[in-house]
Amino acid sequence: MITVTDLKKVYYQGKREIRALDGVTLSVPANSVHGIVGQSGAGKSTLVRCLAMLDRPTSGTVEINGADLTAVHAAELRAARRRLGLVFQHANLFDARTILGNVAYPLELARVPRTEREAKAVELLGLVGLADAGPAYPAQLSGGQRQRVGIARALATDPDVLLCDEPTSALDPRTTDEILDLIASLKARVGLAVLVITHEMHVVKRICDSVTLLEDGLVVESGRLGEVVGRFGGRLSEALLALPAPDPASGRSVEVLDSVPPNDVAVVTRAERHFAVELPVVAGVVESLDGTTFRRQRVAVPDRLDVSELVGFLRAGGAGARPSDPEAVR
Amino acid sequence: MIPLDLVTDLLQNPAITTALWPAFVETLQMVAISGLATVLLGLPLGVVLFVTQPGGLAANPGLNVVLSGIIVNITRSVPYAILMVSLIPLTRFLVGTSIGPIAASVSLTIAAVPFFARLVETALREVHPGKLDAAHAMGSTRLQTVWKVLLPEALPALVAAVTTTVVALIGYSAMAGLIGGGGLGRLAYNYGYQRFQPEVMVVVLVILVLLVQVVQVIGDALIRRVDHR
Repeated sequence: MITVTDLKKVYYQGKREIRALDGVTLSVPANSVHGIVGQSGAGKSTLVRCLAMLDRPTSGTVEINGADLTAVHAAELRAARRRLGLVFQHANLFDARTILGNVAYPLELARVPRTEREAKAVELLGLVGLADAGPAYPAQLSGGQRQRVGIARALATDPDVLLCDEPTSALDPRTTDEILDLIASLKARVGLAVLVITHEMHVVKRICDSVTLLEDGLVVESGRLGEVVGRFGGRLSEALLALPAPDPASGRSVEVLDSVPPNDVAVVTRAERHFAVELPVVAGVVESLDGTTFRRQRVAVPDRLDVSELVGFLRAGGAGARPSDPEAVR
Repeated sequence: MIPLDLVTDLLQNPAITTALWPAFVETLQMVAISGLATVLLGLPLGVVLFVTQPGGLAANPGLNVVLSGIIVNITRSVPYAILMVSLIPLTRFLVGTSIGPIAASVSLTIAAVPFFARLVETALREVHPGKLDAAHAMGSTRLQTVWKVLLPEALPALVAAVTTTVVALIGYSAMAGLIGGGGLGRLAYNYGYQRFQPEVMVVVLVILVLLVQVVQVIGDALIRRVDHR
């Protein structure tokens, strides 16, 4: 369990004050994966550096199972760091060490005897699917394999928190999914809270239980995945169920978000029956997230049907609805 | 082709038959002693230059300015010919004499340490900062980060820096020979220049070229061995 409370980081560029983090509060329970998304410049990198204590936050606390990392210094902090494993975008393995030597490095720091730490490293390499890679050097592995080693290394000290900084941004789509599935499988390890920082919505959809949107150093939106996706018109909902922009030439249309069980009659179908019209879907996306199936659609509205009447019917049916272009409602 | 009589002349010339071997050994001594001393002194200096820079592992801008701006840059600005003459009193104080390969090694070392330290600093800068972050995040002390991560990761570049420095020392050692260091430089100057025997100078040149080649080949082979990138 990791709890971040009112975390602030202020930089000075000459006399100019830059609030990279302006009071971030979030909490990730054990056995879950939490995504932090945001544009570049939103404060994601600063957040990673402050959580890993690579940079000291200006104020606020970072607690891992109740122990505040910001309150301890030097030797104590080095010991506390072992409770947080860090996975980097580019793995950042040590090229001069073998794969086994890389995974065993945190244990070497913890003064674990050689045979013991090598046994542990072998076990972890098996866990990430690279049981035979021990004697190789990082340069001999592919990007995805290096990231697996990076994950094994981060797990070497049996941390309570795994912090992944853009873990798949340098990988191809297929390797990305393999790495994401590996990360998702880790939360089953007793007590591990996983925090994934990313700019890719795909990462959130595939593995996150909950998500936070960061912007200008502030938490804009946060919650369980199903909860934020179901929030019609919300920034995360629109980003996670992204539709192409409406074609201005295509006439009037309405956007609908509903989350009925997959076998129930969709609210749009009910509207078609009710108004005895066809509502052609011009754009749509269906995603099963957090145990619920979400449908976000843009439907064209025939001339003889009043847009606000349709929106009213859809809302009454429990769906989120609004005209695609508010100007179009005369 | 080389005329045969020139070769037989050379083989009978005392400069070649008796003076060449000791001069060669003296050159090797000068380069070996100053090379070793340069690595022992220059490596820590280079590390300190790197870690004390602003934003470094042990940022200390004041110390960095003193070491980098004053000591290293000033020493490197003094031409070696002037440095070696002005260091004669220090050399006498340190080794009791200003003559011979050991004495020459003093000025060679003092000239080479700042040069080598800069090469070390550059080599360390090539190490991706993310690796130092990783070391840091895993709970390494600063000493562990330097010893277990920074230096091993920079090892190929450090070996290259040693090679370059040794090659430079071979060149400087010829100059040091002129003011009492002995060695091949002295031999070439005495016989080739003062006694008008250019053929001796050519022989010395060929030997120096071969020596530099051998050092470079050994250095490159070592780099291939330690480079796992």
